[in-house]
Amino acid sequence: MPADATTPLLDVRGLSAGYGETTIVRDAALHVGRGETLCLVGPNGHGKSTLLRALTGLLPLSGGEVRFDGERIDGRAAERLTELGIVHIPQGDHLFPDLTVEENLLMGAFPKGAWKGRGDALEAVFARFPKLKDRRRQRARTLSGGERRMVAIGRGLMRQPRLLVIDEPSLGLAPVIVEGVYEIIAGVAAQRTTSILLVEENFTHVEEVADRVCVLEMGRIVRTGLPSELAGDAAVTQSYLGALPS
Amino acid sequence: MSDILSILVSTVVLGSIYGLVALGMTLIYGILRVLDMSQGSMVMVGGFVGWAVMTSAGLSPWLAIVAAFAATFCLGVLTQVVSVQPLIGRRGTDFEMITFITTFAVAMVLSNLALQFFGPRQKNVPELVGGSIHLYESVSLPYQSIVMTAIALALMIGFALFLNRSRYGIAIRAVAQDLDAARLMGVPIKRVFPLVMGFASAIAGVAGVFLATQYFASPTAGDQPLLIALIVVIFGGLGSLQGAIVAAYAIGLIQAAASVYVSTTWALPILYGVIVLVLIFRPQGIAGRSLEARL
Repeated sequence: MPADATTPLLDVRGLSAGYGETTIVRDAALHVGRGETLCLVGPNGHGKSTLLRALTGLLPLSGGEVRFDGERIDGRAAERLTELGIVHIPQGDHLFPDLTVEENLLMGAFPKGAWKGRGDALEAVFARFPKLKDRRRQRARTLSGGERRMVAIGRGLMRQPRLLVIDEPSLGLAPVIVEGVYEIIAGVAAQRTTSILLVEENFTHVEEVADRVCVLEMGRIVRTGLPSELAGDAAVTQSYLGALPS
Repeated sequence: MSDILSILVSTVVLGSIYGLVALGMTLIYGILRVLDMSQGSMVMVGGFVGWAVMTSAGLSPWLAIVAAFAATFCLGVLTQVVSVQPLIGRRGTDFEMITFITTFAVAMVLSNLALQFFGPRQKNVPELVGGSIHLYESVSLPYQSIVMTAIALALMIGFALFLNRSRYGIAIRAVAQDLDAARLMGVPIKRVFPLVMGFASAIAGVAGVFLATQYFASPTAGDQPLLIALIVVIFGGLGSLQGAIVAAYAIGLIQAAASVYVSTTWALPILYGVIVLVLIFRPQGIAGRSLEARL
């Protein structure tokens, strides 16, 4: 498939994945357009993180295909996908606890191309998160939860990602800090240069940033639509109540 | 006065050599979680390379150091590929225990190959440089010691700078702390692991040349350094680089002081006694956090 402005940046078809014998995600299809922000919502334990891990090469696919910019990328290892501009901010941040804030951010610029521009990228991240500049020499393990999330997002922005994959940015944070995190995400989304695939359990904040929303339930994508359409949707409500769709 | 001076001189020399071997071991443990039993063989191979270049080929000692570095680097990479890489990520195996045994197997193969090719006789390796500075009464400082210490310190400082400043150095520490996150950053772990074992083995190889000039090159020349390096690494706190270097000099000091004040025969038993005592009161070593040693 030739890559042009009309092909979606990320195109997932029939994706299945799981751990060992257990299939968690079944036959999932979704696409993210250029500059678009897609949110994947669904209850805990229904395969959202598994889907992301499979997309970004941390977990092998058991079926289906993934295209990025028209090119097949399924089966490629995680470390090679970063070269294409796919950045995965994992659930629970996964900072390097004994590296300093600055070293953590620099690791975001590890790919050769990004390493050259690390100085400017660092300044840009510090401009977005002034607090991190004060703490640049501090070890990541000494940071508060909100600061850690900032480092995780900042680390993801260090290499001008084409697709930013963010797994539950609100997880474990105080509501007021979640607001701040979503302001940052909205800021990145509004620039329309980076496509975003955002996973969230909670529907509340998603509405502010999403162009479209997918609902993942029991490992399947059951609904796709505009945030306004899905807000009052019965299927979504059912998902959160834990009832099986009839 | 002359006692103290000679203790200091041999502390610095011994500590630097132990530091080199222990640095490699602790790096490998910190990053790969492998207690690499082949590090002693790298010392042994380094000694034989030194002997081959200096005595057999009659070439410069500097070339011997470079050759030992290169040879043991390759051997370290090979050891990783053969005995560690295939076991990474295997389900249902105790990675640390299995690699402890596989690297030990590599050590056995290497020392028996050395026995086969070079025979059991100890080989004399000439000094790197002759001459010495007279310090005080009967104490003199051989130029050889100064050169070895300088090279060892340069390698340790170089390594520290590499780990703290360079792109790959930071990545190596990152891999040790969170493997998945390092992969998401694009760190090619399949290349990093062999590289780490190559560099660690290479500095052990250089230490091997130094030891061979002090003692001999022989198929068993790596056994004692391996034991000492294990002690240094545990004493320093497994996986802690600063801890290993401090411990290397501390152990050099204990050994030197025991040799001067008691006797050389008692140096090692006293050293082991002190270590048993330290580990009873501080099982995590000097710099290790309890069971969570990290770079």
